[in-house]
Amino acid sequence: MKRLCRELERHLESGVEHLPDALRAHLTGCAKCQRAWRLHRAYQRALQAARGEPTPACELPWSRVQAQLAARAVSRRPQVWLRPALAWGTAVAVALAVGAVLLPWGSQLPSRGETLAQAHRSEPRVPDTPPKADTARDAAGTVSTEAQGVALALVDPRAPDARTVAQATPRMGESARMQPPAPEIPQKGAYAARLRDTETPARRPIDRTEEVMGAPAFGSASESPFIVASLPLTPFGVGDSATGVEYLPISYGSPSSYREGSSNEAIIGSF
Amino acid sequence: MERALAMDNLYAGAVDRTLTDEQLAAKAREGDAAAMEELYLRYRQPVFRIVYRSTRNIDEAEDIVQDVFLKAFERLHTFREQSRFSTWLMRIALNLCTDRARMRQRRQELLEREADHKLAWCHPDAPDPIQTTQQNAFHEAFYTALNQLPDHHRQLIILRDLEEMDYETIAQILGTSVGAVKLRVMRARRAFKAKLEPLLRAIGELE
Repeated sequence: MKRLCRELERHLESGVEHLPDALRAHLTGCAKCQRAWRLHRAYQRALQAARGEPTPACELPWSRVQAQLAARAVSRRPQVWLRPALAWGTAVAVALAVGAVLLPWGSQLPSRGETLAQAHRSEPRVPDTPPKADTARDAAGTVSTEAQGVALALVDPRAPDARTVAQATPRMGESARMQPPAPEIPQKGAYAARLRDTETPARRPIDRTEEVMGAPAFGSASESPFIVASLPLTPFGVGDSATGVEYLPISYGSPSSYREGSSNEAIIGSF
Repeated sequence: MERALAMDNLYAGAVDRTLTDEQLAAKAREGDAAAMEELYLRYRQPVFRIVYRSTRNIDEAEDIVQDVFLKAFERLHTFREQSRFSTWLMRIALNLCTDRARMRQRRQELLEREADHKLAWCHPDAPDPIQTTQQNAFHEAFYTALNQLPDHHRQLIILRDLEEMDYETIAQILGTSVGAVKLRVMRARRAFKAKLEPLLRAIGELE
C-alpha cells in the first residue's frame, strides 16, 4: 500500500495527469492519496488561471534604453584630462609604496637618536651646575668650540677632572648665547704631540668602574678615552626633563684612531 | 575599453529582420544600434512577462527589463554563443529578478522593524484588500504562495509551469543538466503545494 502511495506522489510531482489503473484503484481507497490528489487538481486549476491571466504590455520604448546605454558608456569612459592625472597618481603611489617598503630597512640600523637615548639611559645624571664642566675644560686645556650652538671639549685624560667632563656638557645657557666665548683652535702639531703623550705607559690605566655614560669597552685596557664631545641637541629628545637641559652623550674614540692631519671636525665626525 | 568604444560608435544601419539572434548579437557587439533595437523588440515582451510574473508590478518590471537589456548590451562581448541568445538573456533577467527581490525583501524588513510590524498590511506580497474579491482570490492565493517560495523554487515554477518551457531550455538558462532541472522542479512543486494548500483552504477552494 505504501509503495502505491509513494508512486502516486511521484506521479503527481512529476506533473503526470493520467494515472495508471492500479493507482486509480488505490486512490479510491486511500484518504491520504485522495487529499494529495485534490491538492494537485487545485494546483492545476491555479496554474491554468495564472497562465490565462493577460500580461500587460511592456511600454518601455527603445529610445529610453538607448539613451541610458549612451549615458552609461560616456560615464564609464575615462576623461581625457584624467589620463595624465591617473599616470601621475600612479607614479606617486608607486613611489610611496617603495618608500614604505624601504623605510623599515633604514629604521633597523641603529639610528643616531636611538644611540643617544641608550647612552642617556645609562649615563649618570649631569649635575645641575654647568660651571663644573667649564672648570674641567679650562683645567684640561682642551679646545672648546662653540659655534652654532655646538659645544665641544677635548679632554686630556691625565687631567684630574677630565673624566667628569666626559659625562656631558650642558646645553648652552642663555647667558652663554649672549656672549659666546672665543673659540681656541689648537695647532695640529701641538695637538698630535699631546696625543702621543697620552700613549705613554705611565698613563693611568682605565678603571672600568669609572667609565661614564655607558661608553663602549675599548679594544685594549691601555687605551683610554681621549675624545670627549658634547653637543646640545634638541631634536633627539634626550634631555633632562627636570631641568629642561638636553645633553648629547659622549662618544669615545682611541688615540690610535687619530691620524696626522685630521682635524677636530674629523674626530667629532666619529660620532 | 573595447566595449566602451563600441558603445561610443553606435551606428544605425539597416537591419535584415530575417537575421538570427546570434547574427544580430554579432552586429550589436560591433556597435550596430539597429541590431540592438531589433533584439530589444524581439525580446522585450518575453522578458517582461517573466519579470512581471515575479514582481507583479508593471513599473518595477519595466525597470528590470531596462536593466536586463542594458546589462546584456554592455556585456555582449561575454556572450560566447555556446547557448542561444534568448536563454542568455533570460538568465540575466532571472538574476536581476533575484537581486531585486532580495532588495525588496530587505527594504520591507527594515520598514517593518522600524514600524514595529505595524506595516505588515502594506506588504507587497499581501493581497490588496480592495482588489481581493471572491473572483480573484484564487489568483491572489496562487501568487501569494509563489512569492513565499525561495528564489530558486519560484524561478522553476515560473519557467516550467507558467511559461511551459521545456526542460532543456531551462537547463540552458540555469546552466545545469536536464536531470537536475527535473529534480529541482519536483522539489519546487512540492514546496509550492505546501504553501498553496492552506491558502486554498482559507478561500474555500479546497475541502
